[in-house]
Amino acid sequence: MIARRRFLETGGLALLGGLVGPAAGQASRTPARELLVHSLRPENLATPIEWFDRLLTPTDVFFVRSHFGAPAPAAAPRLGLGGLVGRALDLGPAEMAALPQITLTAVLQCAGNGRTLHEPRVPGVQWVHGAMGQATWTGVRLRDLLERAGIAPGAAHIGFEGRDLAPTPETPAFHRSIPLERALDPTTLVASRMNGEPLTLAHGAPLRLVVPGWAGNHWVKWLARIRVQREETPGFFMHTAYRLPRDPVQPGAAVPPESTVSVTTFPLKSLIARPVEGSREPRGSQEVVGVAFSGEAAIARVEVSTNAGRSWSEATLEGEPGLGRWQVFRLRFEARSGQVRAVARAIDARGVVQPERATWNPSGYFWNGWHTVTWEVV
Amino acid sequence: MRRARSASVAVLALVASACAVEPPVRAPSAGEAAADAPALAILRNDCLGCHDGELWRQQRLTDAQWAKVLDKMHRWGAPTEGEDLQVLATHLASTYRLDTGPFVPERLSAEAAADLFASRPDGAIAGGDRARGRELYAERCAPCHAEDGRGGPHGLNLVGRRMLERAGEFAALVRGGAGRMPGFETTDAEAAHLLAYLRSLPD
Repeated sequence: MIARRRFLETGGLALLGGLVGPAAGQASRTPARELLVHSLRPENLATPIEWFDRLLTPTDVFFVRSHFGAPAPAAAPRLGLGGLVGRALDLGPAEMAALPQITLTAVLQCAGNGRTLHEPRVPGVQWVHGAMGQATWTGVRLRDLLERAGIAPGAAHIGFEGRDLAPTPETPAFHRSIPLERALDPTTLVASRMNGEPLTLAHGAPLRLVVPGWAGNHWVKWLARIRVQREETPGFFMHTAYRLPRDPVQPGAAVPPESTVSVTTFPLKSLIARPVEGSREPRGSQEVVGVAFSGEAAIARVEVSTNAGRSWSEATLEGEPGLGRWQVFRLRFEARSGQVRAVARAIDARGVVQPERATWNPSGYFWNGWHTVTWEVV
Repeated sequence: MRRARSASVAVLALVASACAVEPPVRAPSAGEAAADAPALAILRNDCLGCHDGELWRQQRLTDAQWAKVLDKMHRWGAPTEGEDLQVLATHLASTYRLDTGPFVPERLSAEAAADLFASRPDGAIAGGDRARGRELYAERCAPCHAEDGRGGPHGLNLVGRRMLERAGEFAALVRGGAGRMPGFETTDAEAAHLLAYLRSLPD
């Protein structure tokens, strides 16, 4: 009862303050500072689509995905590195801070982002568009840590364990590994900061893995232990979940485990942030704004149609092109009264065009069909 | 404004229930009529210990998919079995089907979201003794939550749980129980001893 009363006095008031009217039409350009609740236990919170109109997603509205909920903060956080190494490491915050610090900008996207848009439907958190965001990430190169420890012969995979524990002994632990080659990539970080601030508990404090271009399941949070291994980490979250059919399958098909591969890079995608679906916008000059990105190649251009795909115009791009990072696209056009149906599609540096329809798969990963938004011009 | 206000009340109820000690069950929604009471009781006792109800309310699945989901949850330690399992399967498959209307997530302010992850001062539940806590734990908690605190057939993992940093809520839960867990008469000092011990368990 005490807890509830305290909540009503503090969080409750803040909550009411935070819920004052979402932006109507074009009147306001700062979206409401809110998250969409897919679950509170464990925490699965989505970023509202209006926030995807900028290069960096603010940390307080950045989506949160967790399997078992964030653990209690560690009283004395340490990072262990062991397994097939010359000498095991046990590093505290000061030792981590003394190592060379790298900052990079990268998209973090849950493999299941857009799951609810796949047909036929599949179980899992029913993300629409909001399980993604872009931030700056600061930390130590994983390669630097591995070199410090010395990689022994036979090493082929690097395993990661966070401090989040499964709720029952029967529930598989969320343990992951990545191939050594990806671990040695200079963009793979053990990060301690996000958007220039220390990581929050929601986003993996004190340390999380950053694997630019790869889906969020690799970005292990609350990182406590790293192991240099011969083999992939075994278990449900490596060998059952987070897998895709090796070859495309008919929607709804069952896929045997031996015909699947681990999800790694996220495919080419673009998304319209504004105007939002079903909004009313004034006549005249208006802008379609969104983001485009791919884990496989840099973005070359984005095309936007404001007439349901009959004709396309090239949008202007902002931000630095790069693998696993998003650029903002904008297209200004003259809107006449009536319904506008806008569609966006991205083309990458290899000439690959974003597919009109996403490839269905049994777990509902990597939805990346053309995003279509309809609104009224009055 | 009207819409925003009613949404905020709903979110308030949702968040308050998630933070409060009693199992977070909202008033039955349109799809959850009074006839569903037995199924809702099973959900409250067997499911809400690990995850909240939003996780099932957002699913739109076939009977076969629901059966697979329930089978997975059973393998992951959900205690539901026999007739209860049938009641649950029927309820979920008939309430959250392919033709059920869209799931509309509640909106939560960034401040309230940040508060979900915040620790609380220990207040009156402070100065516990780890050795006393170990004894109390062995006597009252270990039979269900296991010697190492990582959970057993009748109790969930306690190691590294965020509730350990919310002493007031922890004490209220121990006293009031939740789901299948009974309440235990526990003084502030005893709750503090238990916390001191549980916080010392390695993750």
